[in-house]
Amino acid sequence: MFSLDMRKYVNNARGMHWLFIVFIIGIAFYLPFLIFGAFPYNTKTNTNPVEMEKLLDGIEAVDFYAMNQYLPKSSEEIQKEIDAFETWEGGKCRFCHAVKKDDRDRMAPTLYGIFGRPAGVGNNYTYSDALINMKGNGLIWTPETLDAFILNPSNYIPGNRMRVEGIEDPETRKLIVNYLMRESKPIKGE
Amino acid sequence: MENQLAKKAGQILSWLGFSLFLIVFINMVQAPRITIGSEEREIMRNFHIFAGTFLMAISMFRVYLWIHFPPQKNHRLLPEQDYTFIHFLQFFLYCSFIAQGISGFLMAWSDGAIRFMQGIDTIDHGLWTISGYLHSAFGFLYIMLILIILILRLYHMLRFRVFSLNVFA
Repeated sequence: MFSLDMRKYVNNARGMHWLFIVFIIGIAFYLPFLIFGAFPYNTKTNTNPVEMEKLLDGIEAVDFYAMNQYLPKSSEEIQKEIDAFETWEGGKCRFCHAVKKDDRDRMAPTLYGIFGRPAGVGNNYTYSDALINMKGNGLIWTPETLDAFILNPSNYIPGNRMRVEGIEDPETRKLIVNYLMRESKPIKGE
Repeated sequence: MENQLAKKAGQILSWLGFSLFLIVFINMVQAPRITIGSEEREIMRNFHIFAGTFLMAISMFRVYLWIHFPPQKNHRLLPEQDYTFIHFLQFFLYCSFIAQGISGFLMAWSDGAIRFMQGIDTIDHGLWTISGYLHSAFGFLYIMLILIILILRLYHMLRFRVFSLNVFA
């Protein structure tokens, strides 16, 4: 395929040039993981029903979504929640997370039915060791634990791959939690 | 194709490549800030696919010309090795655009943004994740290559008095 001239041309580049290009290709392949917390493949099944039962064993069954009736109902407030969750100026959450059942899976695990679910159990996503450890430690996502997590993700679960700064404003965190309460509610029977 | 014609075609393709790169780059910086699912985001994504496909096609043609009609050294003051190195990096820059295009195509296809046959579901989250990671990695690769080429050009200017800011050769 290569013409004779091209072969000569490439051969003229010293071994150091090749080494350099291999080195920067290596860095380029590491950067999406380092900067965005991306992972190149998914683990199809993280938790089977038997393990799930064990994780929830002894934990009082609380339907967190039953509290939805106390959420604000004005359209202005709902719009605030949407802005807090979905926009770049807000929490930026929607850029990586799916929320509803029919949302396409994105770069981060889906938040569909998150409340009352143990950490690190969503399928079709490769969790960090930190999240898998938290699953073993019995972390359950509740409005309170989620609020504490998004306040300072790297402090709450050190070594996790959610590469965003914490949301210091308590009002924004509350809006995000309310949004999830409203939008991620699982369809009955699931 | 004659050498002169290839040289001219190479120059035109380089400028086209540079212009398309700028357009795709601006789009790439702006699009992620727009909320997923909004109409504006869809328009930007479709434009990204359109411009990116052109950039890949131009890069393929440029690499073809490069292989069959390698550039000739025309800077008397630039040592052979420095000349080879910068062209080596520029060649890989075009290769990274091609790799970026292929991974981007796979990403769009597995996300259902590109469909060739109606009614056939091509959505595959596993493939989307792998191709998305590669798309991002090749993006970082060409950004690094461009920065390195610019730094080298600056070095050549200071050390050998060879002035050129040509990144796309």
